[in-house]
Parts: sequence; structure tokens; C-alpha cells
Amino acid sequence: MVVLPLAPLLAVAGGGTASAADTASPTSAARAAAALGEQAGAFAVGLRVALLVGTALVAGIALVSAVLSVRGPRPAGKPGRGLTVTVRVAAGVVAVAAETVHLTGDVSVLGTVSQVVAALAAAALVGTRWAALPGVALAGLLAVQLGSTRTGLPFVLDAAYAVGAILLVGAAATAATTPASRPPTVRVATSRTATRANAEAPTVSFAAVPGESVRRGGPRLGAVAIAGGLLATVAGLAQLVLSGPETSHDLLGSPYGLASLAAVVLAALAVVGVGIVVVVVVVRAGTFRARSAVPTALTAPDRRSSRAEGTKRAGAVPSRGSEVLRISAVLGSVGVAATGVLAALPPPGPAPVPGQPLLRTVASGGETLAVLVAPMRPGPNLVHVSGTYPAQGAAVSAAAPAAHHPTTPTATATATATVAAGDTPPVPITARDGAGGGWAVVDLPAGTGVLTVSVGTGSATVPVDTGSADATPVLATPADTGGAAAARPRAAVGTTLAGADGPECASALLGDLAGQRAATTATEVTGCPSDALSAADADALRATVRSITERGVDTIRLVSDDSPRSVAAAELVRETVPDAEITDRVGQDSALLVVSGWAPARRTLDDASARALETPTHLGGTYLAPWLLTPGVVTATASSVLPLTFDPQDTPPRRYAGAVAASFPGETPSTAGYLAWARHGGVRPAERPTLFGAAPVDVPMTSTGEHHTGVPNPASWFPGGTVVPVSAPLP
Amino acid sequence: MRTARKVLLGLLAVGVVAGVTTIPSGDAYADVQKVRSEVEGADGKDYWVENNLDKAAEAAGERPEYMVVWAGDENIADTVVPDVKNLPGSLANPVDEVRDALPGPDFMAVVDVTKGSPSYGKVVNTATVGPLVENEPHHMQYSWRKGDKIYAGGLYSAATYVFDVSALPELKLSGISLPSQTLCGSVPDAYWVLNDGTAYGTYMGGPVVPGPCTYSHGEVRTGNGFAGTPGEVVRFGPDGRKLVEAPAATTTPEDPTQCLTMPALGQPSCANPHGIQVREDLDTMVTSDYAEPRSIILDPVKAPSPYLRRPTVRTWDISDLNNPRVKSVSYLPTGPRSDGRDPLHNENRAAMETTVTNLPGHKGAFAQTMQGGALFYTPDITVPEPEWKEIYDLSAAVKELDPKAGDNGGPSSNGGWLQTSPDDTTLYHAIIGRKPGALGADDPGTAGGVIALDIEKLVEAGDDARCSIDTEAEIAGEGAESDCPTLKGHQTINPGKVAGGPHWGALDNLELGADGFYHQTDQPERLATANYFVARTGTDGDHRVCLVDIAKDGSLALDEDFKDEVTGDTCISFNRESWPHGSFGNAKPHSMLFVTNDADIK
Repeated sequence: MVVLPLAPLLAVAGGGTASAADTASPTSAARAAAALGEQAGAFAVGLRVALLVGTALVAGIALVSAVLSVRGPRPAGKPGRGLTVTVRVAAGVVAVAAETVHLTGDVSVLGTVSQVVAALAAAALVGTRWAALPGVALAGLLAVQLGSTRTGLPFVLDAAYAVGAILLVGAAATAATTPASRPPTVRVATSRTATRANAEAPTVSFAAVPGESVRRGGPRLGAVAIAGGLLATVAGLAQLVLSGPETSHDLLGSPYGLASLAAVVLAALAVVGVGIVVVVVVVRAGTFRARSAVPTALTAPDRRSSRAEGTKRAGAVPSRGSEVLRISAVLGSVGVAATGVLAALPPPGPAPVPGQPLLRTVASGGETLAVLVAPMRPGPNLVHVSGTYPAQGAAVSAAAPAAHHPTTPTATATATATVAAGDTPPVPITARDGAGGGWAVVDLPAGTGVLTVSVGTGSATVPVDTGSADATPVLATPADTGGAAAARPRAAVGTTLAGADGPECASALLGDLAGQRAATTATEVTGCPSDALSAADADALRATVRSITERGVDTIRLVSDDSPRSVAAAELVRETVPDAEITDRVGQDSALLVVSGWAPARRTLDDASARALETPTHLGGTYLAPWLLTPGVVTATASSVLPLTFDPQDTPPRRYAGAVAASFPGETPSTAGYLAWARHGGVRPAERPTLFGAAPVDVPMTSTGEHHTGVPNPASWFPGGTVVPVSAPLP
Repeated sequence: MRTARKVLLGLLAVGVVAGVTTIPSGDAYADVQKVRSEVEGADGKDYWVENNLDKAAEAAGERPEYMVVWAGDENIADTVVPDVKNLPGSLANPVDEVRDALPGPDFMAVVDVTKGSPSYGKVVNTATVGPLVENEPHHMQYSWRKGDKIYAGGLYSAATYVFDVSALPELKLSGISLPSQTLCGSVPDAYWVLNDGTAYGTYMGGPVVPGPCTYSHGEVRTGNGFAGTPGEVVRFGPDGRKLVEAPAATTTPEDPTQCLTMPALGQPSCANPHGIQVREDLDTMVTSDYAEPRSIILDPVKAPSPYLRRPTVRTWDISDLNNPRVKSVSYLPTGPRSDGRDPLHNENRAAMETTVTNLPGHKGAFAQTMQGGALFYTPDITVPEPEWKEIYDLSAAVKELDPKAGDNGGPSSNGGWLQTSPDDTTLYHAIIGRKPGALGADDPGTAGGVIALDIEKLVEAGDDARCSIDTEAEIAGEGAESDCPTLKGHQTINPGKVAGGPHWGALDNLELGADGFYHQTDQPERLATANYFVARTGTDGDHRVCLVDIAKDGSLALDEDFKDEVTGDTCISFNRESWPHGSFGNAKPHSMLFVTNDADIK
């Protein structure tokens, strides 16, 4: 499947640039958070749609009728029965829907009263110039409500769409349901008699001879409807360019894309419909003049004329024009409904860009999952999926994941959870030690395509674009800018991501994505934290091991692995405290110092904690490298100490933890993620590390059935515990 | 006429619409003055308290009495949607909701409790603390006297705040103690202010770093880390400066069967001090050990051992205030309910609180157990080995609070606040009530409230006190001995709602004298209760603070005039959308004190 990036095409079509969409739309993390957040229910959406469509109809008809009464022949006439019924029904729908929303939701009382009163007033005043007042008020309310989820230019476009749709719907409905005037010659003559009957005669519809209307100062409803429809079409198109979807995959394959498309297409179709009628009327008018005949083919029979005559005329020539106009009004109304539904739909994800991590959400089996794909290059790519999954090789059903939003649907993954690139065999999604969520490594070919994510009984696709296979490998600076790292080929990034330290690298990427601002230029994946030992981490480790020995602990059990960072860290530890006994054995009084990656650290702490329940173990303390501050690691032990250059209790780290959990349910914070996130906000870590203690704190309550019923914050640095400074900045 | 009606209708519609866009929405706190007080912490950072004084609610022309309530933000996301978009057809932007999903500040609420005041029950100030969030505000001292600072702890931040309340309703921050200053303890719990204005505080959890920790006077104890064991007692200066750290653990091992620690310590200890009260005239301090304040969820199916809850009470020699030393470790006795099958609910399980007698001729002290559901008494805390006896089983009181409880309302009744009256005649006790299922699948749970026990005979008996609950008949029938406490007042909080009672309380020891100033009184006429424990444990509460009137005969009655300014219901709820400091939503009130401005008390 070919995935077309629409933003550049649409931007060019709209006279803009490709970056216009990027700068105006929210970041991929914000979009994911919105898609994963609490969505409006079907009942609320139904009420909203009824309210918006009803408001558009009432406002449109009220405004058009007011203008007609002002600009038309004096005295103004009453609207036809069809129009009256339409506007009253619409006003009733508005009143009922608004009151229902008020009773079932938390909305402004004054706003509700305003909308109800304005709608009822408009229905009562329709046909008079006073209808303009509630009509304008309703138009304003519709504009605000239609764009209630947007700000800035997108809000303006929604408001413009509302105004355009109001004019389109109002003019088309008025023209379709208001009986045509008598032939101009007759009407002009009788209107001067000022009888009550004539005073209440229907106003001029655009279906009457346009030339005559113009000559007599009557409104040109056709032009109004077409102008409104064009405004709505252009506004909808501009919104599509500005707010997405950005790919054909999303435009045609997501509810948001289809609704966006419907909003534009329906308005355009309505314009076409009205235009056809206008053209036909003009042509028929010419024929009428030539034949001195009444253009009954496009006008409804005048009820106030002789019923027999009306029946004869209507029967002679079916009012297809009115039907087309009705359809146009309906199309315009459905367009409003489509635009109204947009706000309740998950926003589309970003388009894949070669070399950049892709964060999107997928709906699978009725549940919404977050998916991260990196590095988005040909070859091995790491796919991270939210939810809880069995460990590799296990064949058990997984439990639901912890979600940031209590109402977020939870994934029920099973051993059948897989991800597949194109037609390649699916790869199981499995858990990894020390990290949450599911993980899979898939080989992506060069170019565009889709990943199929299957969880439980459902599956969904994610567009991917890895770029050209022969892209020149570029030397890149490691993600950690500590400076101690050597440059590595870009191709190695995929290898690291696919390896044991992939989850930490993914956490850094998610932190980077969560920290990006709307105007941020996305960056390529250039390295992973485990590629090298940064100067800051080296400094922190030196200070920590000195602190351990200064506390009188002379034996350190050192746990490392074979990553470049860990190897360097272990070497540094040995060099820093040459007199200390560095061992790999478990002991009672020794300190445990872990400088490995997440997974080995988790396993080490699990073993030590289990042993400590039976016998005193590592009474010299458990110390972890700075990069091991992540719940998947620190919660494995009753108490640990880490040297950090930031306080997890401070506002920025908490803000980061909340942001990353919001955009990827169950994703827990990490040092690597926070440092990547903080760079976007200009938050600088402290110059000197401080020791922090991490421990569970959970004042025991009553008994078996009552304990552990609290719900720790999943976005916490230590769910069910705390991380606090326990030293002054280390020298 | 018809046209006129239409015109009128149209004008009405326009007027209403115009009103929506021009009339500001109602704001309960429209006139808030912000005043910030900052101190520099030991780490070089600035820490602050920011007052948000509701000028509209300030009492005028009278001497106000306040209740300060130490409350934590519930950390529920609040989406602030502009009113203009809060229309029936509007939807909230989920991105905005995510953006606002951040924890709010914890705060000290200042509530007007001046009887007869127009703003009775109104929150006149919320003094927010920063930059630390999610402190989990816990306890302060048990009562306040003129000139006292307020010492308040954060359970999770392991910080102790010291507030200056001399200019109430405005608070100032006098100091803060960070966990890096109290390395031999963690999880601060409660405080006792000494006559010189300094204070002792219990730090229930172990040293912040596992391993040996050296205390102020060179003592060394090995602990298993933050929120572990053993805890300590810290003495603070009125500026928050740490004066001394004293070990709660003895140098000899304590009972290894009753003093389980996780991870295991080489030297078992039950030293996790929670409650603390002092008799400076007797050079004695009493602390009660509650539990090792952490839980290790290595096995989600297996319940934490009951032996992580402590049955011990310690007396301390404080003849040198800067060198408090543990004098005795007493194991509270089990009672007639204990049969070995359910050790979690033995009468002596989880000694959360202790309270001393007050009058010079009295040397006794009381203790209570949260899971045990019993009260204990020793007539003399100055002796080397105080003898503690069970003197009341809460089964006798709970059946009055909740008639459906039957005769077994004591076990796991979750008692908390325990306080003697200044004249030593009454013992007040707050009871949450038992959660359903605590004693088994068929256990419906019990309601809770606050009780008043007549202890006059027991205390007056001195060393000859005979009361002892040691037969099954005494479980629900009060003690057989003539000096045993008797129930003289009770007030159910949230009648019929299981585990809906208060965890904490405070006596109003202030009385408006004929001279127009407040004075300390030994005949308090009311007390306050707070319905919040610790949300993370699963026992949350409904976050209401109530006032209860104390009659001359000791009977208790809810103050129906103390109403919530938002809902109009009796008791004030900390579950509300807006506070003077902003729309941060629900808050968790843990403890409170009755306080006045320094100029209004003599």
C-alpha cells in the first residue's frame, strides 16, 4: 500500500507550504494524548450534532428571512408552511438538545438558556426583520461551538465554516420550502393593493425569475447559498490542510479523515446542487420571457393561489428544483454534522518521516493503543506498543495496562499480539524486564508501507516510510550530549534499539517527542543513551562510589553488562576506588552498585530483594546508576540510592512524567526520557549530582482484603513510593 | 400587540446572549490577595508558602478563631475551560485536558471557626507550599498554644515545615527540614511542641540510606532504608533547623517474632514511632510504634505480614531535651479476643497513637491500636518498666456508633486520634470504622465516629488502677472493674457508612474570655474531626471536616451550623472545585488545629 503524504500536496493546493501544517497542528505526542484521552460518548456526540445542525438551520432561516423582509417588497410576507415547520422543528431540536446537555453535563447555564431562547425567538420571529437578532446570536454560538476544540487559525476556519454553512443551509432551505411568488407582473400589481392577503403573501424566492428579483431589490438567494457553500468548502479544505490528516492512509482510513473529507465534499456538492438550480432557473427564465409563461418547473405552487391552479401547475411540471434545493440544504446540514463530529474523533497521527521516530495511536479490537516505531530506517526497527504483554516465550493472557487516564480503554493483550511489516511473518509483541509495554523488532524495507499491529481480536495499520535504502549513512552524535561519547554510524542506532537497551532508548525518544513544541522541527534518531558513558554520568558515579566508601563500606558488588556505557562505567568504578573490594558476589554487609542496563538491573534487584527477605543482604545499601531511575527498575527493591542531577519531585520532572504517560499509556518516566524532554524546555540539570533515596511508602492499612487497594499514580517516578534527596550535592 | 411581543421576545434573546458574553461567571474567590513567604532550604533552593487570602471573607470587627487544616492536593486533573466555550454544543479539547493534568500544590487551609461569625465555616486563606508537591500532608502537633509555631510533616516528601501563625489568617514559612537533614529517619509523622518553642517529631521510617546510620550523639543503628526500620525522634528549632536526631531503636535486639522487617535486619526492631506526647514536668516522652511504613509488593497475592504492625510503646528520658534516650520498650498485652488465629487483629496490633495525662499529680498515659481496636493505659510513665493494661475494647463503643456492628466492632476498627482532655477527665478517640470484608467475606464492616470516655476514676486511681480487660464478657461490655472507662459521649460521622468515620481530631482549647481575648481552657466545648487517612492505602475518606460540640455532661453532638460554603451541607468538604489559590479540585485534609492571631490571645 502506498501512503501519500497529503500535507505538502494540500498545502501547495492551498497556496501554503508544507511546514504550515506542521507548525499549526499539535505535536505527535499531543495528538496521541488526545486520541488516548477521554473521548466524548456517542450520546454526547449525538446531542452535539443535533444541536449544531438545528442551530445552523434556525440561524440560517432566521437570517435569510430577516434579510428578505428588509430588502424585499413591503410589507414583508410570512414564510411558507414548509419553512415554518422546518424552523420550528429545528428550534425544538435545539431546545431539547441544549436542555438535555445541560441536565446531563457540566455546561454553562447562561449558555444553555441563551441558545434555547435564541432558537425559540428565531422560530417565532422568522419572516420579520427582528429574526436577524436571534439569528446572529445563533450564528455566533454555532461558530464558537463548532470550533470549541480548536484555537487560533483552525478555530477561525471552523467559525468560517459555520457562517458559510448557515448561509448555505438557510438560503437553500428557504428557497426550497418557501412557495414561489406569483409571476412578477401579477405580484407587483397586487402588492400595491396592500390587502392583508397580499401583505402575508410569500416573499420572493430565488427560484422566481432572478432578473426580476434584482430589478425589484429582492435578495438573490441562489447567490447567497452558493457564496455560503463556497465559504464552507474553502474553510473546510483549509482546515483539512491545516489540521490534517496528513496522509492518504488517514484521510481514507480513519473516521477523522472521512469526516474531514465529508465536511468539504458535502458543502461542495451542495454548492453544485444550488448552482445547477440557478442555471436552470436562468435558462428557464429566458424561455419564460420568450414564451411569456410562468416558470413553474422550478417553483413550488402558490398555496394562496387557486389550489386548482397550483395543482395544475405542480402537476404539470414536477418541482425538481425544490427537491434539489432540499437536498442541498440537507447536504449542508450533514456537512455541519460532519464538522461537529470531528471534535469527538481521535485526531489523526503524524505522517511517517524517514529517520524520525513515529508515535501514533491505533484502534484495535475496540481499544486504543499507542505505537512507537524507531528509527524508521530500512532494517531492524523497534516497535513499542502500550499495554501489558507476556514475556517472550510465555503463552498467557496479559492483564490490562495501567493507563494515565482512568477512562482510557485498556488493552487486553494475549500471546497472539503481533506486529508485521507488509506481508512478512508477524513478530510477537512481548514484555521486557525493567520496562513497561510490549516490544517487537521488525525488519522494515525501504520506502513506504504499513505495519499491521494485531492485539487480541483486532488489528490496525500504521503507515511507515523508511526512505531510500541507499541513503548515505551519516555519522551522528549520540543522543546524550554529555560529550564523552564517540560518534557512531547511523545504522548502529537501529541495532541498539533492537537490542537489550532498546526500551531505554525508546524512553528517551518518547521523552523527546513529549517535549517537542508545536513549532519544533522533528529530529532524526541519532543515538541511544547506552552508546556511551556521558561526562555527567561518569561524574555522578565517581561521587557515588566515593560516598559509599566514605560511609565505611569497603566491599562493593558491581553489576554491569556489555553495553559501551556499562563497560566504561565499571572501569570507572574500579579506577575511582582502587582500595575497595569490587566483587560480583552477594554479601551481607556489602553495597550493591548496578551500572548495567535496565533489564539486567531488574533481574539483579529481584534476586537481591528475594534474598533479603530471608537473610540480611547488602546492608551497605543498594546504589543504582543515574540511568536506572525508572519504575521498572527501582520498584524491584525496597530501598535504593541514585545520584541524580534533578529532583523527580520538582515540577518539570513531574510534568514530563505526566506528559509521557498521557501520550503513551503505561509508559513510565526515566532519566533518559526526562533529559530528552527537558532539552526542549531549556531546563538544565544541576551541575553537581545529589544522592536520592527511592523507596516504597505505603502506610499499612488493615488487612488482606483492604491492603493495596489504593491506585498509585502510574505517571509517578516511583508508583506507590517516593524519591527524595538524601544528601547535599556531592563534591 | 403581536409585534410588540415579538420585539420583546427578540430583545430578550439578545439580552440573554449579550449577558453570556459580557457578564463574568460567578467566582467564589473573586477578591484574593496573594502574599508569599520564602525561606532558603538546606539545599540552597527557595521554599515558600503562598497565602491566598480571601479578603471578602475576612472577619471584621471581631476577634476571629481559626482552624488550620493541613491538606494535600488530590492530584486529579482539572480542566479549565473558558466559559465562552462551555456551551451545550461544545466539547473540551482532550489535548488541553492532558496539559492540565498536573498535581496542584498542597496547602494549609485557614477556616473561620468563630462562632456567630458571618463567615463561619468559610475558607479564608489557602496557604500553598512549594516547590514540593505531593508531600502527602500528614500530622502537626496535637494542640496549639500562644506563641507556638506549627510543625507539619509531609509523609512522602519526608519534609517538615514550620509555619509562623502569629499573623493569622496569613501564614509565614519559618523553615523547612529536608530529608537530607534527617538522614537517620524518614516518613515524618507527628510533633510535640516543647515549652521553649522547639519540637520533637517522630520519623516513622528508617534511615534514608540503608546501612549503618550515625545519630547526633554518636549512636549507630543499622537500618533497611527509607520508609523502613528503625525510625527516630528529631528535635527541631522554631526555624526548622534540626537540633538532634535520636534513635528509637535500642542497642539490643527486639522481639524477632513481633518485629519483622523487610528486608530483614540483622538486629530486629519495632522502632517505627508514630504518636508522640510529652510530659516535660516528668522529663518523659512517650512514643507509640505503628508499622514499618512501606510495603514490598513482591507477591501481590500474599498479604503483608501482620508482624509489620507494631505492638510497642516507648518511654524516653528527656531530662536533657537535646539528648532524648529510650528508657523502655513495652509490648502491649494481647486481650481476650486474641486466639492466635488472626494475629493481625490481636488487641495489641498497630499502636498508632498515645496520649499522656496532663495534671501534675497524674503520671499515666494511654495508647490505642489501629488494627487491634483496643485502648491501653499505664498509670506511671516514669518508672523503668511501665505496665500497660488493656482498659477498653472498642467493641463496646462501636456498637453505639453503629448499632449494626454487634459485639465485634473492635477488631480493625481503625482508631486514630487519641487525646486526653486537659483536665484528665475525658479520653477522646476518633474511629474510622472497619472496612467490609476485613474479618472475612461475610463482614459487612462498621461505621465510625468520635467517642468520649470517662477516665476520671482510672486516672485518679493512680498506681492503684485495677482496670483490665481480660474476659470475653468485657469485650463489648466495658471493663468489670469499677475504675474502667465508660462511654459518656459519641457522635457518628457518616451514619451507616462503613469505614466512613474520621481518622483525626483536635480539641478546641481556646476560649473567648470576658476581656475579649482568647485564653487556653481546660474545658474544651468542641472538637474537630477530619475524614481522611492516606489515599494510597485504599482508606481515603470523604474529605470532610466537622465540628462536634461537647456538652457539660460529656455528650457529643454535631455542630449543624458549621456548614460548607459551597454546598450548604453540615461539615465542610475539601472536595470542591475551587479554592482561593485556584481551581485545583479536591483536597485531602489530614489534621487540624485551633489557632488564633497572636494579637487575639492572652
